[in-house]
Amino acid sequence: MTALTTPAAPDTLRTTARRRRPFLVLGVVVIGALLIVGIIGPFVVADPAARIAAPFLPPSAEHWFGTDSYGRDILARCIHAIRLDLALGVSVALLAMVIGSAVGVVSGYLGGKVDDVVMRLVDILMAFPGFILAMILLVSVGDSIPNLAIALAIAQIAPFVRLVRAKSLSERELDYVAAARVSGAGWLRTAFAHVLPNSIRPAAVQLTLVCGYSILNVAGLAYLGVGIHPPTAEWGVMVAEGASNMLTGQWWTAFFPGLLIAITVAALHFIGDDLAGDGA
Amino acid sequence: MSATRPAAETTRRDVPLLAIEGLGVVAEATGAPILTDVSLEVAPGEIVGLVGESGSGKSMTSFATMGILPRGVRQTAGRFTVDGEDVTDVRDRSVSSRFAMIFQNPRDSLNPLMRVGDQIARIAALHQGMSRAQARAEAVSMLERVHIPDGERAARAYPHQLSGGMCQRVMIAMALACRPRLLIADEPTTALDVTVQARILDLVVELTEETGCGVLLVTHDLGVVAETCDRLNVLYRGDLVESGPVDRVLAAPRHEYTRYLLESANELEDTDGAA
Repeated sequence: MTALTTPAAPDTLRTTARRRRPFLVLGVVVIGALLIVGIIGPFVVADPAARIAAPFLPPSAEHWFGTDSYGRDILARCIHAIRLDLALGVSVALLAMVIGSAVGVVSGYLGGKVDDVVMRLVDILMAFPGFILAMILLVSVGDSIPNLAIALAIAQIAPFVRLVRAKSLSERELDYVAAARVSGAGWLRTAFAHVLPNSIRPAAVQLTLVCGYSILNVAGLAYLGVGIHPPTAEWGVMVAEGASNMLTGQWWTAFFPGLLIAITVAALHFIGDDLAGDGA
Repeated sequence: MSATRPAAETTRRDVPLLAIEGLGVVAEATGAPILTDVSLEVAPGEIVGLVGESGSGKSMTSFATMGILPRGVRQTAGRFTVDGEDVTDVRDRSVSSRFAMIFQNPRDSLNPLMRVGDQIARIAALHQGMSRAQARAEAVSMLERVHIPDGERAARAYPHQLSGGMCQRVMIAMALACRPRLLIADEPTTALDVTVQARILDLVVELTEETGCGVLLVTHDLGVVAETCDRLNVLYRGDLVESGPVDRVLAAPRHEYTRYLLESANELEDTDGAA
């Protein structure tokens, strides 16, 4: 009469795993490959600051991506930049997610005046384009890599707050939340132990997207001369430095770092899109 | 199913376990009354039915008692006492382990992302000050107490792996882990099919006899009331229109609405018989 209906679970798991998800696989493979190259690469390739050849050598068998105006190897610089760019993208996204989800679940679960105040603050945040907001913050607190990560994270908090709040609004009405309350759990415990884990999924999707945006933003800010500065090997900085060379025909100085930005952001978006589509 | 339960008859009446006096609840936005002057009592070891149609305020009575009224609904009047002690202040009631509650839809009542054993253990740890390992063992023994075979395995299951009836048993196990004096069961069998309903009700009756806790059984099903309850309260549009021993109320209803309820129930039964 009271047998466990366990067979249901393996079945569901199996069908999910069997579904073809080419974009997810592609995204994960690209990011995985970048991570491996980023970890091992710097020990193999040349020093990113060393002037090892003549300036402006076009791509060749010896210098695959060519050399820049100082004679530095562009491939070596691109590979050294992977760690910094990915670390920045991931830390910005994680920071924004942690802060945004915590604020969102409190706002959604408590509702009332707290919710009103939080949502107006979020409106203010959203009134500024994220990129401009990060630039203002960064200029006012001073350029450094940690400040850059914090400024970009603050600029990306708003969507996390809204996503998690929206989900917790519906989640808080379910009986298990009432059951937690009547069993003596306080509001903090109920919000963070019960409502948050059940409301985090949309934020996890947003995480991968913000990771991509953040790499673009780091590059964009570097291009404008805020955040990361030359001679640091960073894709955005390299594009900025190489942009003027495009006009004089040395296209490779800006093209390859730009291509890497595009590939990385696209891969992260593939992952995010796939997770978002999976009946979230 | 035990239709006659002499234990309850003898233990009741001295000091009621729970007494609600003059409970009033209104909707904040419109000021419309949801409950007016509802008073009822539950004695130790007694199962008290609270019946009424949808919207009559049955659930609001239990929410108000547990101190979990939904947003936009406010309690305006009423006194609560437990074992003669005044607990009108919500804070004295909600966090105490004296009350436990089980809900209408057992699947929604369990956190979908936690193993059921952990959910019970968490409550045992909170209410009985147990260590992690003790609470874990308590969870398994509670699961076996509500007649779930192989409690060890059930404790590792997630709610979606269990049937509705199993989930309701888990909810009852969670309620027991609070060691409650009073169990509020808000339509505990409405979402379950008939055979499972009977087993869950049997379980409630059995545990009431074992632990001596009182039960406030909220339902719209007079059949359930007739089989399990000692006393019956009838709510109609937020008013308590009738209350008394089940046998008396069902045999000789004094209020017109109770008669109407009984007639509709009988009509249903007749149609069932003909079909």
